[in-house]
Amino acid sequence: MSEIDLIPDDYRQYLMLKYWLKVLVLLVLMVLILVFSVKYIYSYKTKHIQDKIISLQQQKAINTRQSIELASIKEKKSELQLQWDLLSGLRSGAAVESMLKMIDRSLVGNDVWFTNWKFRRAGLLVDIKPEEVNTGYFIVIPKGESVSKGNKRQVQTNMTIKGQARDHAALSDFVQRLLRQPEVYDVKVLRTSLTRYSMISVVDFDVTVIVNTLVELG
Amino acid sequence: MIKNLISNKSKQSKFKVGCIGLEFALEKIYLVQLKQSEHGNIRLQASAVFEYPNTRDEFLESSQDVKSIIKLAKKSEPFIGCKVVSNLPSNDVRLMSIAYQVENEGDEETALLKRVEDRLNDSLDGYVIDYLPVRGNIKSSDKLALVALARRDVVINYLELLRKAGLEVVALDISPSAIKRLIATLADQDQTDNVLTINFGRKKTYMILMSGRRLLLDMEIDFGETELLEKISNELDMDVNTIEKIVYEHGLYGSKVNSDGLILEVDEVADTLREILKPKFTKLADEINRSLIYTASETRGGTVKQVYLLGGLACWRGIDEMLNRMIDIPVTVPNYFTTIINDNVSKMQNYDIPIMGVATGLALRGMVDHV
Repeated sequence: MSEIDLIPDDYRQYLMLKYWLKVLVLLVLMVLILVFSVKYIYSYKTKHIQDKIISLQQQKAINTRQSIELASIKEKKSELQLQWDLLSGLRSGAAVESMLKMIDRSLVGNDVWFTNWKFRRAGLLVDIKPEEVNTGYFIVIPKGESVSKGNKRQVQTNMTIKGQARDHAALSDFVQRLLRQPEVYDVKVLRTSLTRYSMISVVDFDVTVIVNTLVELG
Repeated sequence: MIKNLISNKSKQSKFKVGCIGLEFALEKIYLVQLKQSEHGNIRLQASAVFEYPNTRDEFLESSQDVKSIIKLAKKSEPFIGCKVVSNLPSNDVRLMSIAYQVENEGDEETALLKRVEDRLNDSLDGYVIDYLPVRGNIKSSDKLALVALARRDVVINYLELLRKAGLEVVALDISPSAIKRLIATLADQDQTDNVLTINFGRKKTYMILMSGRRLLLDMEIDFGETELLEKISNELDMDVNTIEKIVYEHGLYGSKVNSDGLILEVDEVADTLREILKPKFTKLADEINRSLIYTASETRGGTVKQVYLLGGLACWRGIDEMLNRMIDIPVTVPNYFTTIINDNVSKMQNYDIPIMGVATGLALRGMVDHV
């Protein structure tokens, strides 16, 4: 059964409208608060990330600078090492006395004699040239050996010997003996010429003996 | 302790709390809130009575005063929520029974409004109107309705006053509807029973006639507690306050009788009071008889089966007996808090019960489906 209600319909509608307006305003406020919160959080996060990026970039720059410095230091170190090796090579190179002994060991009889002898430590490091094997017509580079023999270099220490030999065979024998000496790295016959005297003929020669002064590079 | 709290909470949650019934009566403010179980049983949630600090009209001018009273009520009693069902003060609402004829179907409201306009002799533009059909035989074009009419500005001011006081007015009811709801729930009478409820006010008395659950008549008569107290005061040459105390102490029937009807102890004061008031009550009885005739005319010869008394005079001990002897119909002062609500109302003085009928009826709105 119906009941009496003296609240006017338009008043109810007015209250309802007011209520929904309130709800709407509240919702808008909530949305605004949410948007601002999200914006704040987003900007905070973005700033945080940007800060992180800047920090990482700074770190990267430091790292780059440090790696450049490191490379430079390494370069310097290698230079110093080289110099150190050179110095070591120079210091620990073959003693004159042993050179003389080595020459002495190579001389057999009186078939070879010297007219001039120079011993020179150049103070320069040079690459080791590949060992060549002379097989007559071809020069064969032994298998498995690198061209530069790894990190091994040698201090240029030469003995230039000028002298005379009874004949080419004596000279060859002398050179062969020299090559067999452990202190000798290589022997280069620079020049040979035959000089005839009235009674006898001798072979003039210039020989360079490269002393074995291998230096391990650091 | 936590277990008890949870248990209490679950017990509480089984009840649905209704709106607060709020009545601004002439001298007091009444608030009642009920709760209903899942099975439909109604219990009292809270009730409170407050006196106005000044007059009702002055009090109803300030929403702050109303707010403070509501706050006080909530502080002192377990009122829940801010939804209220209220009624306009009786002087702001006009009730009239309007007989009207409907010639074409669908014109009922127009016809009724036309009749109201004729009766009012004024335009209805500035009024809020609602009505209850009283007689509505489909076959007959003659209809009768109880129309409630109030000035729109008065209604809006009242609603705004309550809104500003922090209350949400769910419905603006009228006192007869509230009483009808209360009595219909209380009496659980047959659909065809006719019941007369007399609600005694301080200055006016309202006779509400119900046929089954239909409101037949709401009649205002010049009869009230103040008038009776003044009559006794004049007769005995005593001030009204003293008379009021005497009346509440002795009532109108104070003599003690045994089971055989023999008087054991005579209360001469009650007898004197009754003798003084007899002419006034005779007038009331005449009005009751007129309403009985009206009942017969409106219900094809039906008679009133029961008279219920509510309001201030209903608190006078023996008034039911006095009226019972004057009209040959059972007269009762219903203790609805016990009958309907079946709750412990020890906190409430018995004195307050009959005068809280309207507030209780307002609180029942939405809880009972038959009214």
